[in-house]
Amino acid sequence: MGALMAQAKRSISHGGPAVLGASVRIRGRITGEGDVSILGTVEGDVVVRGDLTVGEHAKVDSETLEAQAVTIAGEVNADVNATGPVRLGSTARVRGDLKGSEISIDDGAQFAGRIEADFELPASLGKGR
Amino acid sequence: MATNTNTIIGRDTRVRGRLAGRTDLEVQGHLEGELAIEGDVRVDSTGTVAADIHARRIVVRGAVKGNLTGDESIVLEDGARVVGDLRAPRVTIAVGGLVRGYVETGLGGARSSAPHKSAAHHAPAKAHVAHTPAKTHAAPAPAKKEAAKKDAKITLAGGKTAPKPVVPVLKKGTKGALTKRR
Amino acid sequence: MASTIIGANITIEGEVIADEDVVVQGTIRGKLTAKDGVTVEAGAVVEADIHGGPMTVAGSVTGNVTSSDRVELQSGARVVGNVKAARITIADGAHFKGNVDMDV
Repeated sequence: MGALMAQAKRSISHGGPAVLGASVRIRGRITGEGDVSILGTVEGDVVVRGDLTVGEHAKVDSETLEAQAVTIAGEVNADVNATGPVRLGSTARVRGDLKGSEISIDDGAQFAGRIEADFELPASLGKGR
Repeated sequence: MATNTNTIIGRDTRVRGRLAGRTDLEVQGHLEGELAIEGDVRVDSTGTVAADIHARRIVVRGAVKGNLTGDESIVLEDGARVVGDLRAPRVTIAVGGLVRGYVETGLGGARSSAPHKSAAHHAPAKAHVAHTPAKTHAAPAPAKKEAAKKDAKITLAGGKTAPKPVVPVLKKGTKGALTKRR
Repeated sequence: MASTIIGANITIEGEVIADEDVVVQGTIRGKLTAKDGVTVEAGAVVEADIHGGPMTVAGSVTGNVTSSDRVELQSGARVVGNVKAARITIADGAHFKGNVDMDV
């Protein structure tokens, strides 16, 4: 039940999905080869080759989260840079810019930030800004 | 709550100007200008809107270039393409709903819930993100509440009363009524 | 045929251009141009020049009305402006002040 504090870099070995449990608190950069699931508290960048999940009671503060697919149900203060879809669930509380192949925000999510989807407006509206 | 009347801008119709009133609005055609609607606005898949929209609930399936402000909610459905900012207590973006702009849920500075505030404290690196929304909402937030309460004359987003019309009003006895003098 | 409905309780200040029927129940200030029919219902207020096809007016129009077909002013209509149409009907009870030009 005790909190686990890890300073500086912390790598997660590849293989199955890595789970940072609810009672885990990490300060430092997290890198992962596979999928990562954060259920605790993280202060630091998260760069993951696979998918990233932020649990409902989790809290992430950082400059950037990088992953393939990103699913957020908890609190995130970071820019999200995904190569895949980004999904904010109804319990998500996110401050930061979102970038991904697809962005969706469920009803009830709290969000403040920019979303920059890649698309063109029809000609009758002129080019997007 | 009184039932709103319904306004439909049909597929083959273009409107350029300011639309205001206690009505629900469905845009299937093209709309350019300003919208201050005390009701629900729906932009259908064929609709194209170049205007800021301020309404109670906004649902978009078509294309919008402009900022959206919903007093209750904003929903971007699959197929929506929006270039502009989205601000409403509740914002839903379905898979396939595309947006390019700043998005903020909640009522700006007025009714920020605790998580937002604590987030601001815990993330000094994100200070610029945390403060910018608060700044931009410092003025509009009380005005938006005013606009929501006002029952009679519709006001534009920002709390101003409607200024003189863009297109000169045809007054009786002038250009519009070319009556012969007796 | 789909049509555009400008509902009661809405005010449009500007220009409406429709390639379809238009039914006006609210207020338009500016200009109204329709390829097809225009109906100005009782209670509607149009302060604009109107161009269109067949027109039926039961509300208030202040502006010049130009129709490619016929114009019908129903009882209760108030029209101040010139009317240019191939055919015109002014019902008993309609108020009209303006010129009529049927030489289309």
